[in-house]
Amino acid sequence: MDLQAFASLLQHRLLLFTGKGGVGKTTMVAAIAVHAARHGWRPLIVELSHRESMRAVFGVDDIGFKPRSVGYGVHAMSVDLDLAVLDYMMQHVPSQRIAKSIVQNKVLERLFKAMPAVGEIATINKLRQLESETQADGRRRWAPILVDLDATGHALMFLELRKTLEHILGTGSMSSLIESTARMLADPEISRLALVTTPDELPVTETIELYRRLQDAKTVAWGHVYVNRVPRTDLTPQEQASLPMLARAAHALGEDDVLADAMFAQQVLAERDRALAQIERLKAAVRLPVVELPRLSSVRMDEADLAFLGAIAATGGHA
Amino acid sequence: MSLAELVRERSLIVCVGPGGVGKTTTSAAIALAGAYAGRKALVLTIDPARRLADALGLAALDDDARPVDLDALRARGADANGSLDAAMVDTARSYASLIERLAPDPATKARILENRVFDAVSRSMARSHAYVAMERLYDAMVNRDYDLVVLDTPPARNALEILDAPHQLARFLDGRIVEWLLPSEPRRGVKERLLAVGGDVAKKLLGLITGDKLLSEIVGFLDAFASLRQGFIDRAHTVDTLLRAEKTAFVLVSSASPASADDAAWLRHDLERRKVPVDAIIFNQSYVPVDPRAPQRRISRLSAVVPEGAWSRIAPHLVEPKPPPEMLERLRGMRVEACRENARHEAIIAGVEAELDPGCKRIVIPRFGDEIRELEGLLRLVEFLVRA
Repeated sequence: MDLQAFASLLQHRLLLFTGKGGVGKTTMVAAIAVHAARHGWRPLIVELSHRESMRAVFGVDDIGFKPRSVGYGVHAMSVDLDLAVLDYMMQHVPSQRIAKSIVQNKVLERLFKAMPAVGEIATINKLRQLESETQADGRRRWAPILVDLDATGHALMFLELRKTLEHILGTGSMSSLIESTARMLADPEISRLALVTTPDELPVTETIELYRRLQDAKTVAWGHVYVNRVPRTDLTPQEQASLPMLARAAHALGEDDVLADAMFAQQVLAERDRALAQIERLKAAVRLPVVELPRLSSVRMDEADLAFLGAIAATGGHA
Repeated sequence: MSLAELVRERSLIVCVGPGGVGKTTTSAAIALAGAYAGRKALVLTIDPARRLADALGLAALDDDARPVDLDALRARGADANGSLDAAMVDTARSYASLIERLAPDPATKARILENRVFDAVSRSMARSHAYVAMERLYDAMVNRDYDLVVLDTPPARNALEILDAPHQLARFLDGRIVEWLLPSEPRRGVKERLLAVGGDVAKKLLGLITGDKLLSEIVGFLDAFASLRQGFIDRAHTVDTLLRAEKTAFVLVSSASPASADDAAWLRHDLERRKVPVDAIIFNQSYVPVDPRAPQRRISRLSAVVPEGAWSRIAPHLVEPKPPPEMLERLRGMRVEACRENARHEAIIAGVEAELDPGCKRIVIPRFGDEIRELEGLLRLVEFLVRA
């Protein structure tokens, strides 16, 4: 395992996360942010999904277009496409009044809303803006920035924007924005893309497919693969091996309660075996450090849970 | 209305919900339930889900609607008139065939299909999916003779784009944008001249964002698209009517995880805001069956105490190497822990249910240990769905 890669994870300016819906991507991002804050970093979570899913994780009422503190030393924001377009206009149009009147123009508004690329470009512009902000002491205001990309389709849209637009961009400020962003995303010193999955068949397949597609395109600097919710067991190998014998004895003696316990444990172990087989499949196909995170039983995570997962994620379990 | 009644009586069932809760599989199971009850059903999925294709006995799920072999079902008492087709909405291919259907002449068709903006739109951009799904839905509902179409949708918030797409597209194509941006005949009246100036300014400002080259491609795209406008608007209108028809049902598919439940609550609220009632809510993977003797029971309380003397009765029947006696406590602990999780999930489900309309059917499905890879597995899900 590449220890160097883990040691320096938080030193990257942009940490991107993607994965199939429902694999715990949001929790992962929150966990690494909490861990980073505990170690003196100034993490900012940027959500692109418009779902404001960080609200539930941090228990705050509203996450908007402006970074806000969500507790534990973490800031978060959610990129709204319309506001990002307005922001972009502000930068390129000499007067704020004109920019506003353009954005408020009903006809143009419709065009923006239905037109491809405009929203994506404005979002990238916003990310770059956040990334270059500095504090009074000259240090970066946000470090690292953790970007919660929505499902894998959304991630591809961003990571392949240069390719998608390559024949229609021409030259100019937008073209240079996309060019320089593409270079940033491919620079392993600056950015890392993490893949998040669970040890289930479908998410693992999707992760492998995304990896292959982006690997061919060479548009991104890779981070880790996080496997969330890996089932644990407290049973020793000897105990596991003795389960069938125990079940047989309990059955023969009519000890129904013990029989049910033993059968249930076998069911859980079978599930764990299936999960481990999926992790093996993942490791065989994806040449990236794979970090396994335990399945935690609490339904809503508290700060300690998040920091626990974040420490494993940020150090690859080598803390 | 129960799900069994919905699949018998409705002609369109739209499944919405967060990602990762088994929405595509559930959509297929609902369509299968329709076929079982004797209807000519079609399921339109959003991703190529190979596992589902396997379960349906299909070589693949793609843009073509493929018939599922239901002989095995008929042997088990399914209505002989029922049939099931399955297809996946393929964005790029559907876009191209849509243009082919709507283009007034081959020259326009070629202009659009060769336009680079079109190429970008049809490949990966946001919202494309909703437009295309709309078209597939139109085709299935208007041109084919299915009795029941089940539409799978993209995860979470995007799910509702299918409801917005008809309006958005119609508005986008309402002509004014085209008028603004496209060069037209020399204008004489004051109003027309002003409009022309407005268009020039708009074009310049838009050019600031997109650059001249992209802008000219966009304008070219709009120009070519303008001739398809009426066709698009008519279709958008029809689809909008279909989505809001009496014979349409919306089914919310969720799970009991807090994130999915949050998403489900958000979706339910947003549907309500759009005056679209949720007819049923399905909580997938929502409890662990902790009693292998009664695999369907939802148990959320269990004594942590192992029956007294159990070890001393069982131990003589075990051969060496024997496990330690404490193992029995640990085994019981595993089940008790699973029950606690069931209880927490029950509380989450109750939270979502408390806000539901009384007419909304609730269905809670257990976590099946293995994934569904055969028709048999899908039928197990169907049984849960229609029994409730």
